[in-house]
Formats: sequence, structure tokens, C-alpha cells
Amino acid sequence: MHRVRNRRVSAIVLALVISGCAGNKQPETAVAHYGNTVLETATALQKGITAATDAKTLPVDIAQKLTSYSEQIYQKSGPLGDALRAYHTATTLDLRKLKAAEVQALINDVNSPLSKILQEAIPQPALQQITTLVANVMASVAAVQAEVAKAMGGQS
Amino acid sequence: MSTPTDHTRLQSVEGTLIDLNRIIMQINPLIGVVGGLATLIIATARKAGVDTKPFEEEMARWETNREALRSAIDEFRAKYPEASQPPQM
Repeated sequence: MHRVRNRRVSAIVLALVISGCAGNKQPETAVAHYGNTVLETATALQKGITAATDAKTLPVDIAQKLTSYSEQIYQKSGPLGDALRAYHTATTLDLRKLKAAEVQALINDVNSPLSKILQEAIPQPALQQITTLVANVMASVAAVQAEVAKAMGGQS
Repeated sequence: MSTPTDHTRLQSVEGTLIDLNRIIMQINPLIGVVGGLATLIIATARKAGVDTKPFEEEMARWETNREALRSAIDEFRAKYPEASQPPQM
């Protein structure tokens, strides 16, 4: 009788372990992954700005303004990294949601310099190239926003 | 041939064994629960270990990517040093 009860207890414990491991997805890892894509595409954008300036298809004064916007993205990446770590180490669901909201606010700030780049009077053919590069960064930002929104919705 | 004293001793040993068996039967389920909990704790710790590594890898990439962005900005500024200070957000 005791042996039967032991088996039942073991089965329940095993079920708990399996169910715990089944949902083995960490949203903050996905956020960090897409956050890395933001940095990579922002680097590609800055390299594109430099290349277009070197090729003289982009005036230096405009390129300098665009670079200042890249600088703003870089400046945001420091606090964003800290917020990601805090999000990862949060021990309660409420704290995780709070930290996810911080990540969301910081990533939203990255959109501001991106939209300012598109408002600059960039001449063709650099305009097409720069717009494509900015669109790539914006797509990465949107991916981060989507992942954080999932976590804030309690799907962690 | 056993004496009455031997018989009493045997009964005493039998009683002790029965008591021991009863104790074992009582703690047996407890052993199962403790074992199960230990399994759960180990599995949770292992799970945490497995999950932390990909995140740490992403954060290591994060630092590398930040440096790459910094380098790209610095490269531009080195080529075109008249670049002004970044505007406030």
C-alpha cells in the first residue's frame, strides 16, 4: 500500500518536473536576441552613413547629424542592457512586468532618433540606401517591442 | 531444544523487529516525498542553469555589438572631426 502511494507521489513529482521543463522558454533571452539585432542594424546604418559620406553621395553636415542620432541609439543601449539584466533576474511576476516595462520604454526611445533621421533632407541616391538601413533598425525595434509586450501580457 | 528463557528472548526480538518494521512503514512515504522534492529541486536548478546560458551569451554579444556601434561612430568622427556634439533627446 505504501509502495503504491510512493509511486503516486513519484508520478506527481515527475509530472511537476516535466511540466516545469516543458515551458522552458525565456522571453528575456528573446528580447536580448532581438536587442542585439537592433545594435547590429544600427551599426550597419552608421557604416552606411560613413560609406555614403566617403562616396560624396551624402553631404558631410547631414552625415554628422545622422551620426549624432546613431550616438543617441548607442547611449540608450547602455541602460537598455542594464534593464535587460534586471528583467532577467527579476524573481516575481510583478517585478518582471515592471522591468519589462522599463525595457519597453527604453526601446521606444530608440524610435525617436530613427524617425528624426528620416526627417533629414537626405539627397538621392543616399536617401534610398539610408532609408533601407533605418527600416532594418526599425524592424528590429518592433521585434523587441513584440517580445516585451508578450512578457508584459503575462505570457512569460 | 529451546528453554522458556530462549522463547522469551525470541519473542522480545520478534517484538523489536515488528516495531522496527512499523517505523520503516511509517517513514517510507516520507522518504518518497523527500526524494521527490530533491528531484524537483535538482531539476529546477538544472533548468535555471540551462536557461541562463543562452541569456548570458546574448548579453556577451550585446557588449560586442555595442563596441562595434561605438567603433563605427568613432570611425566617422575620426574621418569628419568637425562633427558637432550629439543633440539632447
